[in-house]
Amino acid sequence: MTGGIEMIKVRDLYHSYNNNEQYAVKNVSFEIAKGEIFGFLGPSGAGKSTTQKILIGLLPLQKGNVTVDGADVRKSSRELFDSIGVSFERPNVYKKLTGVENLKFYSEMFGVPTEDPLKLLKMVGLEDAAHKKAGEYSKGMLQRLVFARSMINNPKIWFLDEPTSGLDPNTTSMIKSIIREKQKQGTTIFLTTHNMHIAEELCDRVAFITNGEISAIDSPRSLKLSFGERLVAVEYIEDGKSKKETLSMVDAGQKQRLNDLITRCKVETMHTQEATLEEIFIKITGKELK
Amino acid sequence: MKRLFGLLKKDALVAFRNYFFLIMLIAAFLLIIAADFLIPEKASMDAKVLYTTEGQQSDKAKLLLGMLESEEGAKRADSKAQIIDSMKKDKNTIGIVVRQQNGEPAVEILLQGYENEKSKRALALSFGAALNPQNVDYSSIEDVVLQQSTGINDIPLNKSFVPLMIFVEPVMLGFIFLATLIFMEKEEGTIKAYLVSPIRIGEYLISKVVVMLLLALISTILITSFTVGLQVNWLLLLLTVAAGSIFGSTLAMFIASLFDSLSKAMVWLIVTSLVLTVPMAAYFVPSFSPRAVTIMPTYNLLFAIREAIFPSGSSMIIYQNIGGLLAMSIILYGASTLIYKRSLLRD
Amino acid sequence: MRRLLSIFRRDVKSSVREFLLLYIILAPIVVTIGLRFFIPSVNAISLQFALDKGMEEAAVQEFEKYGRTELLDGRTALENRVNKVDDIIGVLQKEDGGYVVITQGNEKESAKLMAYQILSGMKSQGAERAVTFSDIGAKISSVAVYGASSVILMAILLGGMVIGLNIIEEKEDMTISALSVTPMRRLEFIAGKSIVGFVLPVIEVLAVIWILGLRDVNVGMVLVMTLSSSIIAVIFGFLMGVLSSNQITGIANMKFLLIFVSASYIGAAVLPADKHIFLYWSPLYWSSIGLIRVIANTITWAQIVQYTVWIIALTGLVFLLFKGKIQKGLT
Repeated sequence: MTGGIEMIKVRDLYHSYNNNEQYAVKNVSFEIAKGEIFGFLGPSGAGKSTTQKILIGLLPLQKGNVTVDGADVRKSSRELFDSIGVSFERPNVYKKLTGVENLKFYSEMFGVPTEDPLKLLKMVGLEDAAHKKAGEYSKGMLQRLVFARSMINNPKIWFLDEPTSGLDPNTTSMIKSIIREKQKQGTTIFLTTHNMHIAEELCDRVAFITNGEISAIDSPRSLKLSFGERLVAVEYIEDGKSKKETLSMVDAGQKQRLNDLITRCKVETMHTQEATLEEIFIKITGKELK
Repeated sequence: MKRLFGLLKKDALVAFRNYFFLIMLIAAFLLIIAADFLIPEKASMDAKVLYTTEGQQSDKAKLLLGMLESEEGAKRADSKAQIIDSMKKDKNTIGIVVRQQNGEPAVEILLQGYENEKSKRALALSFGAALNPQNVDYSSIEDVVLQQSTGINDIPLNKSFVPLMIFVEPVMLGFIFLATLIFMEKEEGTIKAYLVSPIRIGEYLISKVVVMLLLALISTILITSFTVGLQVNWLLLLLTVAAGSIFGSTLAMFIASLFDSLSKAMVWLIVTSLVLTVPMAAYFVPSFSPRAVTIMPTYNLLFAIREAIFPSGSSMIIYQNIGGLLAMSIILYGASTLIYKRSLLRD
Repeated sequence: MRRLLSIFRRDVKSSVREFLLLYIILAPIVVTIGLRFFIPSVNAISLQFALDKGMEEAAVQEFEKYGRTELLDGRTALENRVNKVDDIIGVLQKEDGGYVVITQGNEKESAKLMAYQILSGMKSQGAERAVTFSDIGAKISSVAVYGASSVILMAILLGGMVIGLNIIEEKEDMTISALSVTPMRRLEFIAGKSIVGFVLPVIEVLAVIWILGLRDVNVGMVLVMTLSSSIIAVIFGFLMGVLSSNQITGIANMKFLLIFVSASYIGAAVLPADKHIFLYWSPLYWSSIGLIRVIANTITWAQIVQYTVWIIALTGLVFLLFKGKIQKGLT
């Protein structure tokens, strides 16, 4: 928790699609502070989208309390959406309209001053395709268009659903720098993803969600410190052959082994290795991120 | 043969799932209700006549009035004003005022205002003849009637709609249905799957024509037996309808083959179906026969259906119609097969 | 209001970019232009005579005064012509100056009598001088009335179809979800989508009246009838939109509507007045009869109000029946 004003507050959230005891989301609670990038991580079907849909009002709130920008979503007015931006995972734009026309039309739905469509398209590298019909866009271009569209109303709270999936490395880093820039301007960002690298790079805090339940919430750094084993990778020469070994710095036997190697053999390289967020996720939840 | 049967089963199923059978049954049901209960048996399609007199009438005029009285569809009105009033309400009405003028009876004919000169002259001539029967002399005219007892004029009005219904429902509905069916498969891309199977494109098309034929025959049997009854020449009727349905299907198929999506083909399908139904106007007004109408294949078809249901002795038209339609169907079928083969290979 | 207009503008823009919708919008205009040529040819329908080439010139001219004539060579040609399905009376002059009138046997008695009277009248001119004509000044024939009213009905229904196809587009592109995270209200969405269904028919109706030159028609009355009938089309449009998952099924679903329309319109046009009660359940019957009578100039404002009330009440009922489906389909 970085402190400051809470932009999103979720308490004891439950949701069932069939209105029975089979919960898609159960007992979920978290807060997001202003200007924070909060990563919501989990494999597909874990309850990420369900939670996000409740937050943005696409699904009704059944049980629990949710406030967004200080307003209870049960009683919130449509004007709340003036300060929210949503980038959808599956591109949903008008295929018969051009990129500019899509943004222009969308901007007319808001009651607050909006960004210039062309400026946004330029930001995501679509300036050349601005006047082409969206039906002619490639999958990656459509995704960038949806991403650009979600910024049109300068949202205070920005929901990003897998913003970089399927994009090439260049575009991905462009999107990442836009997200960081927005954060600097004070935007609160709710990032849903199953891509741990993105989360690790961008998020101030992450929540791990599997089977509808949150199993951990913390900053990537502290998660690594508390759950990641510190390892040392050693390359050494023994009997004239080059060998490699990875040893834990916690396990007593392995610590002894490391001592042996240093004294006995000629050590060529030695690196400490941090566990990746992905490995920590698997360790905590016992599930692969797919 | 086994392949064709398999295709047929699939097409029939698709047609069923898309409610084609249901639509056809509902339409047939409505048409039967209309023919049996709603349309009157007797009603003149000709103009209604309202007549009145002004002042004293001579014997000559009384003769004319007597004729009008015995005329079916003619009614006496109280005044000219009343006639004008009724004429404004019903456009299919004309009025007649009989009065004395310079000691002679005179007739004023009230028209709606859009009647043509030739019809007006014809009316004037008839009334002139009726007022001066002494001038009428038919002695030098020989009467030749080519076919006695045709009976066409004795058909009750509601039953005379039946050929029209059979024309619209099985024949024209099949036209639209077939086009939808083909584009559905184009959209789904299944038509390409046939390219890599032993099914020939021709078989694929025939199967659809047969399903539509089946629909057409069922609906014809339903409509005919529940309206005019079972006493019709079934063989000729079903053959005629079959030829009509096959023609409609192959024409729709041909138009469909020229376009890659329903949206683009739609306007041509609609325009073609509108044009093909124009001969319906000639059915009730037999003297409406501009060449542009009579050369349409549906013109003969319509009258051939009538001939099969209400034979008037000129069965020649039935055979001519079947032959003509089948010949055109074969050409259309061949052309569509060719175009499909080419366009599928190109994609 | 601003959002409403944006939605409307977007729908129009999107519609003109697609063949299908463009065709739908243009179809009534094209049909009207066709009607413009068709109506005079129907109004000009007269008797038809097949005459032998050997007939006196004067006789041929006499027949031309009363109907359309065809000159044929010899009795066999005449008989073949008469035997064709249309109504035509064959006339032949004999060696002795007398005439032969050839009929097939199924012609109207009056048509045959006409041929007799023309032949007999040639000898005693002048009898028809006792007959004078006047007219009540109706400018439109029944063909024009039915032609114009059915085209207008078609334009109204196609407006609904445009709405339906636009909703299908939103469904296929999944854009409704994008709109639901903006301040736009669902009512604004529905109202914005409906505008096309009212504006398009109004423009088309004015075009139809102008093309057909229907100067006597009360434009106010036509517009009221058009707008009230559009309510039906708009509801059908929304239904078609939410019930169809893509364009093709959308068009395929139109056929249900087509049955109701044809039954209602043909019923209103053809059935005798005492049988109309069987059609009172159909809102489309009320628009059909209303439009027919407005074009024919035989309706009062009181009746227009009455028909409109019927339409709104019946359509309201249909809407209530499908309200849940429509709401669910739009999320």
